[in-house]
Amino acid sequence: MINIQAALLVSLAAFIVTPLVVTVAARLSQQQTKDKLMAKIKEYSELSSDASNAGVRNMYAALQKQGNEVLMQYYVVLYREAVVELALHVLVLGIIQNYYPVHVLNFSIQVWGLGDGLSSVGWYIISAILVFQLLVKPLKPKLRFFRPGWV
Amino acid sequence: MELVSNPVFILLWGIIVGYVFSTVGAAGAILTFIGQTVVFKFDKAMIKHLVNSGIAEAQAKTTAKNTLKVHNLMAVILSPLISVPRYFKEKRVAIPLALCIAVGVVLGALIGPAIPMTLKQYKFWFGVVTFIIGIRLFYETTETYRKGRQKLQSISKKFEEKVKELKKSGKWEELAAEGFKVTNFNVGSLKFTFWGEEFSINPILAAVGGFFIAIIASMFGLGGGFMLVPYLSSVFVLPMFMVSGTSVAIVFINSLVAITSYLQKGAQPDLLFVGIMLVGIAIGSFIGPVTQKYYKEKYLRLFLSIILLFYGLRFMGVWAALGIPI
Repeated sequence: MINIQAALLVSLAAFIVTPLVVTVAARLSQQQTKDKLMAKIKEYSELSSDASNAGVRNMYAALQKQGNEVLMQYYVVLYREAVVELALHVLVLGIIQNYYPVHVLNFSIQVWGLGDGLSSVGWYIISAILVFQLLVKPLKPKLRFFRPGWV
Repeated sequence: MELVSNPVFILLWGIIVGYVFSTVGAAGAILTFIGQTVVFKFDKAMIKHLVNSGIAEAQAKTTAKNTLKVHNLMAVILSPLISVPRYFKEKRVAIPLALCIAVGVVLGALIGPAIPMTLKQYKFWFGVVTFIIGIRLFYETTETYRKGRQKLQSISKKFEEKVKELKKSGKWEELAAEGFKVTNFNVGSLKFTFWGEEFSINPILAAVGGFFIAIIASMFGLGGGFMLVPYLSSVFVLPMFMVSGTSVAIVFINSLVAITSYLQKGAQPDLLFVGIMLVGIAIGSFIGPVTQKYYKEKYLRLFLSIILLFYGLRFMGVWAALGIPI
């Protein structure tokens, strides 16, 4: 059985938040920084491979170490990008968990991992994925607000 | 359970964590942990709430400990969640190697959460990790480290220039389209080409390494990236561009299995608390690089190392043992 009011309310939240998050994330896109760092990593990688082929072990170790440092910078940028894309979703999930903890779907049987129903939190996750896949993704090439680095 | 503190304070703490992590590039998880246990006393509030709901104290402590780990893992899984699908699309995950390690990781991430550890022991070991990172950060502020780094950069620059003179470039993009190709696979050996380079690994060694890394990481509620990166680059001598995609994919598997395992053990993550902190982290991580030019990063690193050394000793119970009431 489905709780229609809860389903609509939670889906509406996902419908509003998902495009908003994509717009903000696209504006704050880290793609250029990531590309620069990846190019640097590839460069160090190629150079260390050359050093290894030339039998210069110290040079190989030095270049690998430097590549490692750039890789750590890359991970920080990656994290920055991810936290922008997901923080607002987690916040909305938190609000739903605390202030609207209802069952949207009630199963007549016990389902492994879900129990006897699908909660509003689970429903939000499914709705957000569907909104992204069915609405945001097809609109990406047409709407500049969904494209990285829009001004 | 009610929110442990005023949301503004949680947001502010998140901003500090994001600021420090984006500037120094380390200690994000540790500062999140300090925020939970020292600043907001999340574990104590949760134990109190659970005991008031009629749950036995020992059980409440276990739930609080597991919840802290899930909060940490939730912060860890963020970036793999976004980047892994992209990495697969860009063919930057060495899938055969990732699969071999994943076999061990899944087992390890199931065993790790099952290893008995009290909240006190968990805090102690977290203190050890905090203390070690504090020492490392302190070392990075010294003249010895700075000089070594400068020397490293100048030597590799000279080498780079020499290689550029000798080498013709331009093959990379063509090779990227190929992705990986398995050329030989049996229990004792896996050979594959990745971006045109041939790699040969031992699948059993890969799985065993993944197993132990996952046990340690999942026990402490960590992603395991800090162990995987040296493992992949040193043991299998993989190039860095390959390490990035592959390690993130493995961290994702480890975190996912560990979170599921802790949730089944009764962890009750507070998504509102985590959500507010993440919004703060997002804000802080953008303020960091903008303001970095106004001061020397060395001083922030030094300050952070002192904080970590102090809290590392506190979590290990050193101050309490010395009778210092901090």
